[in-house]
Amino acid sequence: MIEFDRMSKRYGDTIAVDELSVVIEPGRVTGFLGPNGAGKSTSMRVLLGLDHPTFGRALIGGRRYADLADPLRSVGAHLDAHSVHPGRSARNHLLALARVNRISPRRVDEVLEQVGIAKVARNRTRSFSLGMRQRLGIAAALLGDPEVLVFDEPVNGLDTDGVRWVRHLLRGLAGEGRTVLVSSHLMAEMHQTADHVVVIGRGRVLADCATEELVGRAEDTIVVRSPDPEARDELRRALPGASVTTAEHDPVELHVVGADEHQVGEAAHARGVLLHHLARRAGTLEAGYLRLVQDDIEYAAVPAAGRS
Amino acid sequence: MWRTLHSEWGKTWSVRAPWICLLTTVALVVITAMSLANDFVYGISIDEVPADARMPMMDAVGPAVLFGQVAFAAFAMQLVTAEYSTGEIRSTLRGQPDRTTVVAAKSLIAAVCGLAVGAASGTLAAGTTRLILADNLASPESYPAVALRCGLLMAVVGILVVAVGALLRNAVATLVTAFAVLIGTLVLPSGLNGWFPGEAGSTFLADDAEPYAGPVGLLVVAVWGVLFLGLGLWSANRRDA
Repeated sequence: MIEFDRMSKRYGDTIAVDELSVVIEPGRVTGFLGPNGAGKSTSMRVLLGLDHPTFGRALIGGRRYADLADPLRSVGAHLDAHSVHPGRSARNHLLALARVNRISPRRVDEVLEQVGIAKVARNRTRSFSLGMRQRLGIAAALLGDPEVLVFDEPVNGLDTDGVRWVRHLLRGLAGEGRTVLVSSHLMAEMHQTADHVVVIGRGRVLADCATEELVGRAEDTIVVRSPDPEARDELRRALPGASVTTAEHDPVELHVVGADEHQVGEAAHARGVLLHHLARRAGTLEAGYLRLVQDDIEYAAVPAAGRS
Repeated sequence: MWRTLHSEWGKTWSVRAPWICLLTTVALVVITAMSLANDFVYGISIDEVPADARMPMMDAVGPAVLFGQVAFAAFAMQLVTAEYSTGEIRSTLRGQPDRTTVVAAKSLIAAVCGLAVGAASGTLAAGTTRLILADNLASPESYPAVALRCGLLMAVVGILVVAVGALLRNAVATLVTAFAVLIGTLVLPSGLNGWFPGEAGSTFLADDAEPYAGPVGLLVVAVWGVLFLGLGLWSANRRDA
């Protein structure tokens, strides 16, 4: 279990994280979402003892990272693909980490095999692609067979197969009862991977809920296709409470938000608008996330004096 | 500490730069000593120096080892600065979050390597100097004594440079600072320069009696080392990685 307890981090006058309090439970993949500069990476660095919090604590199983004996056996982390000396081989990099945490060299070869870079393990990492470096970082996280795993943007630079592999890996780790915290900007990917999401914006928690709950905050879209050039205006007049927009990629496709398929179908029939297609498209994590973050940005834009 | 030392030792030798720096140190010391001895012999051959003049061994070996400190400083420096420039420090500190232990392990590696490379290069330089000077060598010193003095000085210099690296983190800044402290301070006015590592190291190597007994020279360098180590540990523990 990971616990952030009123954790704050300031850099000079800039507040990167503002009293973050959240608990990451075991047995599920928790997505850590937020715009650039929201404080995700900073929170992870504080959790791993790399940065000192200005206030509050970040705990793993009730203890600070610095107080863990053989930390890699409790917490595995992959923060970025550049925490490696490019002149050192992948195997030697992992061996150095293994030695300091009493992990056998056999385990090094196991994880190299598991992440699929065993064949190049004796090459200097300078020659590695970004995807290979990501796999090496993931290998380092898995090295100590830890109960808690933290990944910062683990699928950047990975090909389609690699992305699928990471998804299965993360879900498998959570399925074994481990705590898995993963940040990503790829919403579609997170929708498929995370059971639970924590969204932060401007250093504060905006949402801490099941992934589907955040998805549910985005309204479904009714997609219609009509050859009638007046279709959009007719539907707007018929459905004053809904938003009717033309799809960017196709002028005959219209998107209606704020009405269900019955209302749209009936409105089209009443106005004599010919439809070739009418379907409901479910909300996405991206839409739910954008709505949440948008509300936060609008809140931030309101002058302080205007708030109650 | 032992496991961190084992890990750091493995890391040290699994990249190329340390090997290059240490071999360069030995080559620089030996070639500089040879050149100084050869200049003396040449001076005699052109009657610039009296034929019965004698050169003390440490007049060639001492400056050569001081010069070699720069190449050795590059070795000690990269133990720390390469971690920051490559980002590897984030892996290192996840494996061993106690920063004092990490800096201590790196200091110990620099000290052990300094002892070895100082002793080896000092002995080789003494041997070649002896061969070149032949009858023009003043009272030859025993090789173990030369090896010990060169090794001890390099060991202390290694700790000092690791400490500067932990303080500054940047390779160029560390090397420039090390150069200024170890060599640059030689140009300070006499009387004052005895309290800085350049002259103190030189006094220790030559086992002079001026401005103080030889071993005091090593003590002066060690005090600077301890001072930088304190600052380096303070910085490593206080700043974000």
